[in-house]
Amino acid sequence: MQRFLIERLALLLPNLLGISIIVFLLVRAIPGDPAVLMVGDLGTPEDIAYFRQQWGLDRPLVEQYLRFLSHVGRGDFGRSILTQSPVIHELVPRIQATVLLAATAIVIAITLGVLAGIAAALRPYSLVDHGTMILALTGVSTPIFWTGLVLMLIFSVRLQWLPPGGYGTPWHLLMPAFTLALFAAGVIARQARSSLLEVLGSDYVRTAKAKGLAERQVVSRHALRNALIPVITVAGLQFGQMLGGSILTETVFSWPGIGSYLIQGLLGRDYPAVQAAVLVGATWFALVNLLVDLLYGFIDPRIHYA
Amino acid sequence: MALFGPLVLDQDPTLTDLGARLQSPSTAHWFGTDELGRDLFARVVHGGRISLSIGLVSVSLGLLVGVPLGVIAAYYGGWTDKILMRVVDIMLSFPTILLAIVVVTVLGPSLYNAMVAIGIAQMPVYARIVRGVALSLREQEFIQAARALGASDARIVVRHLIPNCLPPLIVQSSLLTGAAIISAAYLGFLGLGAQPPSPEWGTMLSKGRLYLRSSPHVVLIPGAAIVLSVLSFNLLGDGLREALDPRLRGTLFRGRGVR
Repeated sequence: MQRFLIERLALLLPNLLGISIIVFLLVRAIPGDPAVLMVGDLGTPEDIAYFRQQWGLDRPLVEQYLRFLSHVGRGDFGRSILTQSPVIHELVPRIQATVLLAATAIVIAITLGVLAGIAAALRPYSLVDHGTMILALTGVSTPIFWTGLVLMLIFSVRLQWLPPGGYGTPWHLLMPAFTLALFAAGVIARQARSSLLEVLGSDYVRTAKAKGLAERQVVSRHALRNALIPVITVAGLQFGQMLGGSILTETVFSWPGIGSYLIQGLLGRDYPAVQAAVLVGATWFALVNLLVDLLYGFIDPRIHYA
Repeated sequence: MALFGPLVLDQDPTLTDLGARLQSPSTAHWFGTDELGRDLFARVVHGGRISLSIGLVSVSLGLLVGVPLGVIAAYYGGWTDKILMRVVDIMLSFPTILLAIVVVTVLGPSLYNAMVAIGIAQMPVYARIVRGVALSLREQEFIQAARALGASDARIVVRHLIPNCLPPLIVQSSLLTGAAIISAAYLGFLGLGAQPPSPEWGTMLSKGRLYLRSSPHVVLIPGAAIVLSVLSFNLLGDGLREALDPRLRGTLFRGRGVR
């Protein structure tokens, strides 16, 4: 178990290093010079040159990259070109905001998805089954920002129950979390239904039924546990992808998270900010995948990480 | 409808009529008008053409690059495989939309660049699928036999490997066409995709959201168009999966044939 963990963490490092190189190069390939943007139209060529020198933008790429790495190593991710303060100061509250949003969303998605999946699988090919599965497919087919806008229209504009955006109270969290959850809920419901159906058709479930256990017992004690393993994989993948979805959700609801930080950084050519945000996203994705692998061990005693 | 729309419709989707701004749906304007008095019905139909072409172009691009990469990785193995799959892994460790956003910012915001960006972002998925299938086929007897008969590498790949990869590729292409339409709408919504006055659905929504309070139809109608078109590609993908994968046959809609 420990060896497995160490091995996986060791694999993580070269992967993140690769990602950091790609991000570093991509960000610098974006047309538009941060020096020109920051100095403004009135700046003389000398001003621009001075700015570039101040921020080390005139150094060779390799040197810039190594400097970026050393800042990551020191844990401050460099200073933001837009706000001049260390990126880490802005990053931490934004990571907290996005984690809060995504964690709430995945809890909602798993609850809705698993319940819908069970309801559908218990009565396959019934009206309930077709109804929930069409709903699930619609959830998967709806653009996140549109869900957000429609919820906003209903609950903020018409009913005036919830604030249309912002951050701070649980009321602010409700709509963005549901918006972000809907896609994942659809994916999870589809997976839950198909894997539960498969398990319900297996021999050991028939045995359990044959020895006279109540349907409820068979499903909750025997079938669900095994059916949940692929569901966890899918939920984990969705949680990893939520950083992408949160870019849209945060834009619609002006949620001060990592997604809106990234867009702001991209538009302002704030190299250090973009690099940090993407790196955080990739680390998030990798850690979630690792966590999912570890969870298997708890759910399925057959899996051992020797 | 989206295919033949422009033949039937005589309204110009970019024609503005400031006297008729933000009108609700009526007989003159079936879907109402938008913030510049443009006919929303004409815009949604033209937007459908744009979204369909985004889906087709980005998926073809993803296939054109992804499939050869997957074949090369599986066929040659060794270091080629290791390096290619490392790159694919790294690309897959970004959420798709994040990758598309970064690529489109590099290329500059426009409809065509959005197609390219989405195609690039989807490429690793195809490479993965093809490599998986090709790896399992490589050692099978009919490939060995073809090689023994003196078939060239190119012939084996084109005549034997690719046809066997087709079923999963067709299913994925259908699902990813839907995904591409959504991604394009995301880019348009963030102002990184098609630029106004183009009637791309996401771009329309990014302008329309400002009028959510007064004229919700400007937001509701293009969004519903996205949902319907993506839903149909997803249904198609599900149906194809069921038809093409013998293991799944009959699990989705038992006894009703393929839809």
